[in-house]
Amino acid sequence: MEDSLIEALKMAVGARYLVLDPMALLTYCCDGYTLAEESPRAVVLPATVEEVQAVVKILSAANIPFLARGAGTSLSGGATPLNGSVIIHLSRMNKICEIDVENRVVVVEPGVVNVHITRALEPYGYYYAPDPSSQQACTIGGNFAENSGGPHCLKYGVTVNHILMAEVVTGAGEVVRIGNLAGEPEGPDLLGLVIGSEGTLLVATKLWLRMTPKPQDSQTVLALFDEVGEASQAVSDIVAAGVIPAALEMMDQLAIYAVERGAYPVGYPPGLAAVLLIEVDGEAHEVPAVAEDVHTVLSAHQVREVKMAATPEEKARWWANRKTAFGAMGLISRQYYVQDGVIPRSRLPEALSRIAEIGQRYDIQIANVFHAGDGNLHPLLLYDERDSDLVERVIAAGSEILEACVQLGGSITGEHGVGIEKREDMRRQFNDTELSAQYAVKDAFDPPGLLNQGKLLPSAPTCFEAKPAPVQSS
Amino acid sequence: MAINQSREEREQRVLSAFAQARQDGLRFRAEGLGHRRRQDRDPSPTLTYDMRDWDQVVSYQPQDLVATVGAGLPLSHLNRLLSEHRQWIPLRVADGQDDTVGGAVAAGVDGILRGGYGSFRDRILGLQVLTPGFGSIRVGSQVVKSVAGYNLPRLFIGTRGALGVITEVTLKISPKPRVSHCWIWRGPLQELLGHAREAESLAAPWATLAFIRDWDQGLALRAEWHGRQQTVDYLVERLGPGQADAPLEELASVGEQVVLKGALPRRELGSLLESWGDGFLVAEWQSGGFFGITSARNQAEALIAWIRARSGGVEVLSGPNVGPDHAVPLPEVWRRLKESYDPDGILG
Repeated sequence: MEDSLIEALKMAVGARYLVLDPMALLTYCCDGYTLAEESPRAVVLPATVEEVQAVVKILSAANIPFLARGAGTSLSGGATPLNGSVIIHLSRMNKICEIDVENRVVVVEPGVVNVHITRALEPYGYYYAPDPSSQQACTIGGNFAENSGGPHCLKYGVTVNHILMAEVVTGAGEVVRIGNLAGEPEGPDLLGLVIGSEGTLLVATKLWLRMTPKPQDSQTVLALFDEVGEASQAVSDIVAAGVIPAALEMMDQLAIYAVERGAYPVGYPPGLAAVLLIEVDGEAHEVPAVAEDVHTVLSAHQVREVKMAATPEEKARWWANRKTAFGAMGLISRQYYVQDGVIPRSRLPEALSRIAEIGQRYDIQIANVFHAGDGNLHPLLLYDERDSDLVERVIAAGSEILEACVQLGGSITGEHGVGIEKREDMRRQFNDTELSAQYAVKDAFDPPGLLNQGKLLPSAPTCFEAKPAPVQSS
Repeated sequence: MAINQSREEREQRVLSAFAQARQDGLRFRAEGLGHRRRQDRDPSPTLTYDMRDWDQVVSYQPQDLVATVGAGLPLSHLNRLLSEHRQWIPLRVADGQDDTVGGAVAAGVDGILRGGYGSFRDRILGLQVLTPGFGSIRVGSQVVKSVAGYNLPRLFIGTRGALGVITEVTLKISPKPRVSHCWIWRGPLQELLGHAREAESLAAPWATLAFIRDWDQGLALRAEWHGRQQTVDYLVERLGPGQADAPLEELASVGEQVVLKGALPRRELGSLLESWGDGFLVAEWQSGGFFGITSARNQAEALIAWIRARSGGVEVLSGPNVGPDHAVPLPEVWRRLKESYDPDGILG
């Protein structure tokens, strides 16, 4: 990087907060998606919106690509720098600025860790609803970029349903507020559009979040199955019975094997094919009745056992067991590659059968840990990076699983984002014209194309023109 | 009759109408049942296209709680179909009007059940849209969760067809509640606010906690619980008997009405109820959403300015398009989007 540019960035954030040392930059070569790595040109750590603005203006004037980064927990490469990008690391912007109980709005900077928001709201009887499994580490700025979900988004919605207003810095360095305190768009819902845009359109510097009242009560039901098909059907039947659980999670045999060797074993009996973990919550008089309904639906299936959590400790252990499932894979495999496809809930039995068939055909072990209630699959493909042939098979199998999801009427990603990983898979879900309409959004926000290059959209659209010709009738 | 035509044939008819409008120098406007028609300040000659025969149910799988329907299907018809499976779209607009699904999406309509069921826009998973720039495109998805690409449905919700004509809508459906029960209190605002706070302290979320200011400036609070009998029994014990159901007030026509819809931060709702002046207003306590009618243009203009000054959002839903223009954030972005999606500017 040119000396003049280095000096300008030092002036903007202070010399201490500009990282150029190649060894230190190694930390930033990838995020939670480790199959692609590239060193950033530099990392800057601004502390205020003015510093972000200054950095963006400097980089934009020098035509240098850049991206914002939080905790780097993205699982699709969204925070991995490409093409010599500069990383704007927002970890110093980590203040909870205001808790406005009357309006039920909490104002935060992007570097605040997701779970810290809920902890801050607890004394007031509120929480922040979207709870990605990485919530102990991931930041709200990253959640904004990825439109993150989590186990409880089945009932409470994802990030876009919980952000009312945002202060952002555009690619040209302009500071703008989008939305309002009421969360009511006037005309185009640009806020809804940019949430989940994976940092390719602008950089968020402050967020106004909806505070959700804590439910009065909750109950967790655990069901142990000897057949995956029965468990899958039970998922559909619970929803068809008119119950929307707060969370409805499923693990298959291999996943159970792993979590029982992890830090929070439940003591599942041997030989189980699947476990369903169902949480219902709401008004105190209602929860026991709803939990009983779930119990009744489950018991109508071929199920080995249905249990209600007897104590808060038991409930906490069941959930800790589930929430640490990805990490537990490290106990049975050197690496895992997680996919994130979505299918209509009613196609769950078929989807799981196709995943099993793909695993057999590619000779890969696949564990399934997923948000069954909304059809969001997380097949974990186990591999060893030292076996290059296995790595290739894993990538091919993962892509085939996404194709199966699209064929079943679903999506290539439910919450992990497209990032680098699924750029080309976007062609499975959208045709060239539809991709062109998406490129038009990128072009409208970021004409020079400097923001988070190489993410979200396929590398070379086959038919995009920046100013499309009008469609003619035949 | 369009009923036997394929989607492609129907789309071709609309594209031909685009071409006709372009050729004749007209604006193109798709129309459903017409309840949300806004009178432009600078009316241009317009080619109006009737979407009511786009009324097919494309797919509906009750176990998925998802339906894809033609944009011209009235919500009342859709709810009749869904009710066979004890499901529904909980959109109850305060004026009691029926809307086509596409019309409700394009106008950004919401209802009094927003506090309990979330906003209507959050139910919209995907759209099929005809755009002059790109032709027929599917945006969003047909599953309840997807982050593949940009969230393009948000560009078409509430923008009244400015970027494209919605032809199909994929919606998230809700189960119908086992029971519903309603309490109505009348009295001064402070007393009703006390009831609302008490109700919230007993149970949450309510399907609605709606303050209703009628044409005679009388105030009422309508509290509706949707859920299980156990909760209703508890609430009856604490709040009084209430009733199983009660119709919303009939809205009389008062000539040239300005209908406003939007939302305010909760702190401001009391002031809104006090300052509405002549007309009718429903304001939902949990969500801040409101729907109001006034027959006085200058009053509507003042209200719009007042709401925006308090970081609320407001738009004219139907009637004369009065009030100061909202300054769209990032106007250059919007201009470039408009150029891409509607290069000749034929859409409203």
